[in-house]
Amino acid sequence: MEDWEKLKAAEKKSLEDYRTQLAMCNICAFCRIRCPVYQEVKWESVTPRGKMQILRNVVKGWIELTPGVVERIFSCTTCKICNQECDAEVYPFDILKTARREFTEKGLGPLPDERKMDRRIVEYGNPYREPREERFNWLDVEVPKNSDTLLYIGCVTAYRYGETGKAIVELLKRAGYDFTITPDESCCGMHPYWDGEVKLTADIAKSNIEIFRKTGAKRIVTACAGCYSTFKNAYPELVDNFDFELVHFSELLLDLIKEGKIKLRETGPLKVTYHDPCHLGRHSGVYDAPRAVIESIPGVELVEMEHSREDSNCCGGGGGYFTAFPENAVRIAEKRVREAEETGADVLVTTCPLCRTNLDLAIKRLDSGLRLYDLADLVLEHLE
Amino acid sequence: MDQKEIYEALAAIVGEDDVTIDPVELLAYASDASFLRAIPVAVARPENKEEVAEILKFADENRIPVTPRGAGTSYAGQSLAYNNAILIDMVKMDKILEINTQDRVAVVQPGVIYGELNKELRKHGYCFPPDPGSAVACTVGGMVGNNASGVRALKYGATVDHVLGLEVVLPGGKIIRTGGRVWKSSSGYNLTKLFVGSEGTLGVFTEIILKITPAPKYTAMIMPVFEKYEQGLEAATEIINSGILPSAMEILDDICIMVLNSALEEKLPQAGAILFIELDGSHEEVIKEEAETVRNVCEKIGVKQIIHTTDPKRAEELWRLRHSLGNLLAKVRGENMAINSIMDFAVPISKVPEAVKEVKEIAARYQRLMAAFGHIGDGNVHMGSAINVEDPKQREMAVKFSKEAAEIIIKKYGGTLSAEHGIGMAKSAFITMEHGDTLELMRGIKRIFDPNNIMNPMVMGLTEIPRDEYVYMAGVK
Repeated sequence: MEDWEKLKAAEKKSLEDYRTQLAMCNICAFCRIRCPVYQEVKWESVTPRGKMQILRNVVKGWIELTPGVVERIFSCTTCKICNQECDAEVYPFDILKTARREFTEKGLGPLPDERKMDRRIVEYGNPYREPREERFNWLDVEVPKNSDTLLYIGCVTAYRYGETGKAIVELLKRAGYDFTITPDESCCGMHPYWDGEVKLTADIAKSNIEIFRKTGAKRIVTACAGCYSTFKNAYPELVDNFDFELVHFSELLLDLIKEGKIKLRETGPLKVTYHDPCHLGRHSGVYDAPRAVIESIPGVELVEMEHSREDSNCCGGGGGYFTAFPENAVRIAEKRVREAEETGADVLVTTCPLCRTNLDLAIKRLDSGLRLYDLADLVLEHLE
Repeated sequence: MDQKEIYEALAAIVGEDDVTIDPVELLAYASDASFLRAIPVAVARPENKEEVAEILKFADENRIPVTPRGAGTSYAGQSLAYNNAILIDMVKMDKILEINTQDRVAVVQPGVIYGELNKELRKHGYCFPPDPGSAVACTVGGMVGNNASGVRALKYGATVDHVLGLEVVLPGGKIIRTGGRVWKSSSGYNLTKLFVGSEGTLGVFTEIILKITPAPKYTAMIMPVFEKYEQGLEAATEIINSGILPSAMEILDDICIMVLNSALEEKLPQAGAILFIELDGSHEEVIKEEAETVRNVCEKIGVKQIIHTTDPKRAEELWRLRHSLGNLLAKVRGENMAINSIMDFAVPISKVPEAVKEVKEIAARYQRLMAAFGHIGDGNVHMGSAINVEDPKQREMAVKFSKEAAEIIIKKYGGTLSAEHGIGMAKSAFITMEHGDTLELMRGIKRIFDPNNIMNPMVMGLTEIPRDEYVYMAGVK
């Protein structure tokens, strides 16, 4: 037990360092019950316990690192629920993250579509091959060039949900909040980070930090759970000089509502349920602020899904899973939409444009009556 | 028949998407919760009884062994496909077909997760009570195949006490039904009960009819804390003698308390033993009276402290972790693997204190650290130790140690090797010790159902395994 405490605390950089933890997997199957990928695919090799067995064999040198092994290890949405389901404290998620890095370093990972996506991100600064200069086409108001606060919009909102970008900007403007947006904004690097592209992500981080510094900002606000998690968790790991205060837009909104700078009105009774993005929730610990914002809207009733907060179900879109396995990813999202429907809610709100993309596809496919909102859109709709 | 031919035959039955011979996939199916490993020749996922029947017809004609598998949470290797067997993963047959509160039955497919079934049953005010440690993950089919039970077997019985009827596919592909949805039957041999606990050696379940039980209205959790482990054992025996029947009575020793505390924010006192006692029923007053009886018994034995938990969330957390104790113990065993051979024996309730003491003494002689916990109220104790399975000397030692302990449990105390985990492959080397000549009768029964011996042939000692082979099976991969 003492040994275990020491082992747990020790810094681990390679799969070899996880030798004991890999052997500690009890094959109990607790992890597979909540693993979104297993619940869709239903083959043992994609369960965290299956992956632990495969990796144990890799570490022991009993099996070759074949493309089949690599594919299994990258069959993961990085939802991180396996870490909390594992009572033996194997921390399967941490092991998988290390394995992805090691495989990528060896040139065996990520999966081909993921690799293409990473290259696109480097070339275009976004995953969509969109021109850099069109990133803020939707921005129709002036913002100061310099401010203490940098509003980082993120690729998905910038290129796919311009209306939400506008909503975020309008809310801050109406609140009289001083902020800037940099026209040089580029991808945060989340996708390559989870693909195990450590050096590439570190280069992206360094370049972004330089861009951020030019704005004079000390604080970064973002409405994207993925970007938030990348800044909060990945950048400090990859570079030494990420010293910005980091705020998720929901947290800022809550402050502005509390300060009376954003005043809300009732537009009629509305039942809302909230989807916790894995990267805002389990990865970053932000659960309360989005809920408090929703609950502060007059006439809005927040109803929780069966699985919420730490226990929330994944939408299926994270960790490059949507890139490599788009069909499975949407099917996972369909389950989440069904769960949301069961609450009787009129509206499903999320704080992550990546989740939104996937949930949106699922809603359309299911012909669901649910309306899907980003938190910013919901708040704007209820602005006094 | 080579692997590719087997693949093609299975693909013709279940479709290409539901069969695999991919070596990475097969490796992931090579484990259960025991120390044993066996790589199947192929894995198939049938969706209905007809497909199961076709698979068993093909396997029988070609003399290919078959192992049915639920969630693979077994502790004795019974859900592994040894000797190039086909593994049938029942994951796609996971529907709750009917919950009928008037008849008090539930009809399910074998791949239904126990925890999910109970969640549904509770919506109707009912439950399926055996409650194994793997409750959140194990399947009902696996529970029936194994005659699983758990903390609430003390009052409510094991799985066998709740199975009313089965639909079973026999080797060769014949589909039969046993029992039905009646609660009682004196009509001929009770084949339903024969199938329960048969570890996949007689056929594959495709439908299960369960008796359901009203969920208790009130529960209370009492945790007496004792300085010495022996006091805990004595208290458990005396509580049973006092005439009350708790819904659960578990014991944890000092090692188990330590690992449980590693996962708890609000720690339990470190002590020689803690009992987890649950009382349940329809009347709060009766539960209060029974709690008083428990208190009086424990005080006579010199209890150090009694923790009474009325907070359902705290009780739920403690029971969840108690369920997961086997997993938590990984923090003690580290890279070593648990010895499964004597980990779920049972002896007559009055003999528990002596038997546990003696097994602990044997463990000490072999210099094995031994955690002891379990369903003390019904005489079922889990005693766990671990070895480095890659070291042939330690494997030899584990076999010797297990044999010595098994002899004490069976011969001296009249106990059984397995109260709930099954014999599987892990304990098969010692089954003759328990059943003697009647094992031959069991082999005869198997021959009636499975003349070509294709159904999970390596478990329960039904096929004689050379001793060297047994050691080999405790292998590493």
